[in-house]
Amino acid sequence: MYGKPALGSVLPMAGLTVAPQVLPGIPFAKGLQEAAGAGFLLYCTSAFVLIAVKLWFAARGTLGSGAPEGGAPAGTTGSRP
Amino acid sequence: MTGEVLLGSAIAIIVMAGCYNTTLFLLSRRRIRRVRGPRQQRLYVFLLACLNEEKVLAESLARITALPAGNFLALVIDDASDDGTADIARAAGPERVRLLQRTLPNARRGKGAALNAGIRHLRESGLMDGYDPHDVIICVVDADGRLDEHVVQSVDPFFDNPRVGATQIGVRMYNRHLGLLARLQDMEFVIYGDIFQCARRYIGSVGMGGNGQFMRLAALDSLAVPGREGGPWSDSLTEDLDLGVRLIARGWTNQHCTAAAVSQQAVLDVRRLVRQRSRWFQGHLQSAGLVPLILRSVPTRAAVDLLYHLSSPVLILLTSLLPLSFLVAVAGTVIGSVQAGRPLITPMWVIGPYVLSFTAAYAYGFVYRRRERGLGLVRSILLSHVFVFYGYIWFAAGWWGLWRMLTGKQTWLKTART
Repeated sequence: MYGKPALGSVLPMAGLTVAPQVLPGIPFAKGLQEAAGAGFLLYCTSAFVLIAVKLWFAARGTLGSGAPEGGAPAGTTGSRP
Repeated sequence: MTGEVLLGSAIAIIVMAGCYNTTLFLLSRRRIRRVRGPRQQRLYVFLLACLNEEKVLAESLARITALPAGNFLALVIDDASDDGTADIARAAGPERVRLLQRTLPNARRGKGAALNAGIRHLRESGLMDGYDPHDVIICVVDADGRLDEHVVQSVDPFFDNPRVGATQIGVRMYNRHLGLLARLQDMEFVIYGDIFQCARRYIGSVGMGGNGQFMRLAALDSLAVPGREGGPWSDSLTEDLDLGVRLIARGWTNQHCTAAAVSQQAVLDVRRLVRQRSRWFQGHLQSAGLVPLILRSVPTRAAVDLLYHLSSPVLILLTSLLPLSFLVAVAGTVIGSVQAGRPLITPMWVIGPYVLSFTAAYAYGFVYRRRERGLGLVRSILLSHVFVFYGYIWFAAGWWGLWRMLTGKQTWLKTART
């Protein structure tokens, strides 16, 4: 997606971890960042499961089963698919 | 303790995305070695799905009919337009430009449905009789798409490799000189093509972009589902993304061509731009249905990249919380500084976020300057700093797209031409 360059270039709150709690708004700001962190942990868990399933399929050798007659997975060389 | 883990996880999003972007930048700098097969004389068919495109269609057809290529034709699929779209297609010259007029109630069912109708028409009309489907190249062009003069010469060698099913060319904005917003969209497409798409050639996960998308007819045929009417395109809001993934899953290789581009019209209004991106975002969310296919039929390396690609909307929504958090914290600290009578902000508050947020801007500026020599390196890097903020448009678009999906809204008005 074209929005991918935006990822990795947002203003993070690296300094927030040491910011004093007494400042107005800081608990809310921390809450937002913790929500993002919790979501990311969930994301990582889902990604781990999906990659495990992928590796299981790869180990079973089902790769390329949908390829056209005479075809082969992308990135290989040989005759016309 | 839990709070610290969660705060660290939030930073990990940025680190992960930064590592991914850096890896793809480095991969994109490598030269690609092309696999060649015997040269063939190929038929090129340009498909233009049009709904009320009288403002832009004539110029696009003029570019196509003037192509210095031997064997090609264009098919304008008029999707029940109310304006003079059909007249413009008729006036463009029957030798090279054919017209298919769709009528309601079958028309106006999305771009995918219109393109499927175009393929059916090509078969039924006999225009492709006598051609081997491997030597017929279908190109999808938006009605405002202005193809480079040398596009066929640039794309054709990719299809010498019999495994290549599709080739996407670069996308530019022809009105990029009309203000900052248009310039930033041009930069966005250049960066996406020259970094992400180029790198994905090595991973085997090049995506299709819907404009300037060349596909072998045999590859499209391989997507047919036995016993189901329709055609290769789905009715997804991002039918191009969907088609690209399904081609890879069928064993074809997708390529990206940097030597030619199609220029389209940039959106000049922020609100319309956010709406356009919301539509893309919603389509991207719909594409989650491709995950089982990716797990089953795509090679592991490409599959991991495609899963990251398809899940990027989730990451966009998560990271959207971070700039908001930053703004709230800065405001709170400014108020606290006033109350304390001394500054509570340390230099690390500026340096840390700058390094993490804007390092990529230098790479983006370097890449864009190679396409826009007249811009100069310093201006290009300054522009790429603005580009980092421009990326925040996706945050607004993302939440809007998610809201529309959760509320069951599937219909979208197309982006109007100016």
